[in-house]
Amino acid sequence: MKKWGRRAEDQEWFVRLNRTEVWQHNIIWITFTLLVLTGMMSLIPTTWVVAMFGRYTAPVYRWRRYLHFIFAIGLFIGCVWHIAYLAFTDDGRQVFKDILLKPIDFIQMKENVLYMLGMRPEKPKFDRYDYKEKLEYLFGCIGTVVIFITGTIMTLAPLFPKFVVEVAATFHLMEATLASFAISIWHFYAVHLKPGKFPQDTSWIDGKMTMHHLKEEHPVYYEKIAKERGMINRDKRMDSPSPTSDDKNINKTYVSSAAEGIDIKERQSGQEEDL
Amino acid sequence: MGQRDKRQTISTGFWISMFVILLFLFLYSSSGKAADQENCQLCHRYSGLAAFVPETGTKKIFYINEMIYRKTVHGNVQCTHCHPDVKEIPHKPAKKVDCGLKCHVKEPSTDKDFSHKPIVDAFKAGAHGQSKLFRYEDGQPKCKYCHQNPIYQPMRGILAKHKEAEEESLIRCLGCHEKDEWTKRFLNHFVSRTAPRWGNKEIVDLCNTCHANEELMSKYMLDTTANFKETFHWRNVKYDMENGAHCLSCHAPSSLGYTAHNILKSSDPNSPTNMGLRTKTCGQQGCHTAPTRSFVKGTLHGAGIKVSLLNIKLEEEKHVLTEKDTADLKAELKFQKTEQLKRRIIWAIKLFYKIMIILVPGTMFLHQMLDLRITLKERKEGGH
Repeated sequence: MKKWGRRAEDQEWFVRLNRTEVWQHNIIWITFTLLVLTGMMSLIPTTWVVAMFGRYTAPVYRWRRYLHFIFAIGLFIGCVWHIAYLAFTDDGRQVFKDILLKPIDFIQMKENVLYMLGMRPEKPKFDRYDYKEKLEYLFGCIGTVVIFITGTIMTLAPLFPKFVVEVAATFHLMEATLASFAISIWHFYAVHLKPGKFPQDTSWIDGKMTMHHLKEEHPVYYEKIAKERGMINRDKRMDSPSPTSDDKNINKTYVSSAAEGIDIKERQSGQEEDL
Repeated sequence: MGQRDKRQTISTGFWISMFVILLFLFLYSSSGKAADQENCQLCHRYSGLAAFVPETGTKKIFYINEMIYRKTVHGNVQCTHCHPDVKEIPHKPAKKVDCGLKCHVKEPSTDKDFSHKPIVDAFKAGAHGQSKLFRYEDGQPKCKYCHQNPIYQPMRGILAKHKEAEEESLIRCLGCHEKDEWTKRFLNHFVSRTAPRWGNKEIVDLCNTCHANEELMSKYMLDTTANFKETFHWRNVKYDMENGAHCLSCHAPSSLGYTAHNILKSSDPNSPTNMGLRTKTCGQQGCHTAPTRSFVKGTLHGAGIKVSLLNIKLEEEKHVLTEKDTADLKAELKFQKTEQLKRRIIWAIKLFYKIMIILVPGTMFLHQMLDLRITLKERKEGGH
């Protein structure tokens, strides 16, 4: 499988998002972006829209409504698929379990802020998902539910009392504005602008993350993985510029496993059995 | 060439020049004569012709640019057709124009004298034309408030796909119709009326000049329409959507047989905004499909000023109001209070989100800036 971005041949990496999760993420981010673009057209000053589309403004605006509806259906399908994945698959249930906010996340949030302010010597050690990802996921879910309910009311407006439609429209517009700002600042920085990630974290394409990044950002989870696979000793050599032939063989195993979408735990248990 | 031939040549040249000058004068005067047979331009051609009106403190300009006037929709109407009281020069101050008068232009389908009287009558029957409603001079719209004797509009839309389409049409018309001036005017009139003169945005802005004026509306116990521009209807209007609902779409929907000239009060059972007809109005073609009664209930625009106005009226006129009037006013007050509460709820939701939009992304931005700082520091120290 082709490796994307700046991922070097000699780097170790593992499946951060399996193939299903990559597709779900892609459906959701693409439809979300298109929904924001088609939705915000009705809010931004008319002069900007006219400057962009000129004499095609009216047809573009007419199509905007239909496209917004089509993209909403796309997002809905993506979300339903994701919910089904969380409910009916082992991987999904594990993701759900791991991504739920727990008291330790609030402690780690406080510790991380103190660390960033220079008031704590070490940053907290995060597990599979840190508090930033968990909060983003949680607010993303809440926002999506709000947007779906209000959007449905707006689509079926004549069936509802006018006040309900007006309240729904207000929530829809304001929630969408809030979500757009939040995603632009929070998620864009984390996966695009952050030093080491720029211009992008390529896991959205192939679902893979380097072990180096995993160790940096999710050390507790990294240790679990490494320990389960007996990588702890080898990990000491990870920073070496030229990996040994054994390392290269292990990398190849990871690459092929990821390409086939094999669950990381299944691979781990298989390796343990071999040992 | 002899002396005699030279004199003959000069004489011929003189007569040709005189012929050309006279022909030019004749043509020029004949075109002018068609527009100004009463010689009003004798005085009204001067751009400085104006008067100060002490009662209103305004200046009135009486200058008429004939070239422009001739291109307007009234360009073939003589001055005295609209100003019949002007019979001599110089004349006394002319009375206000009555658009319901018959002018001496023939209406081609009946060959009778043309008049705007049917429209004036319809206007007088509507909310804007009922003089008894207008207790204040500044509130009542007159014909000239909306109609400014506009210039004919050029061909628009699909008809104007070729730049020279109008000229080509005129050539075809002139194939049968002999009178150039009449044919050109008829075509101009026809072309101009193929599309509405007012754009949807212009209609909203025109209505809003009065109806968004809180002080003026307070005089007539009406709520303002200032917040119409927060509605989805306005968003469709501002992008020139075909079905963008402007003021007339609901208050005088042409698809239901209403015209802008006879807008009725919503309490009138024949008004398209009356509760009895609202489902039909909101459900007209291209708008909401099969709306329920609860959907069409309530007001679409309003800043909530009517509550205080009704309270004042009830307090001030409690001794003169009949029991029925008081009961009606109280019912209206209850309805308006409910509407006001709804607007406050929406206002509160917006306020909550505005605070959230500042707080949440603001906090996120600060967090990410701190993260950027520490990450850069780590990378510098870590050497990667």
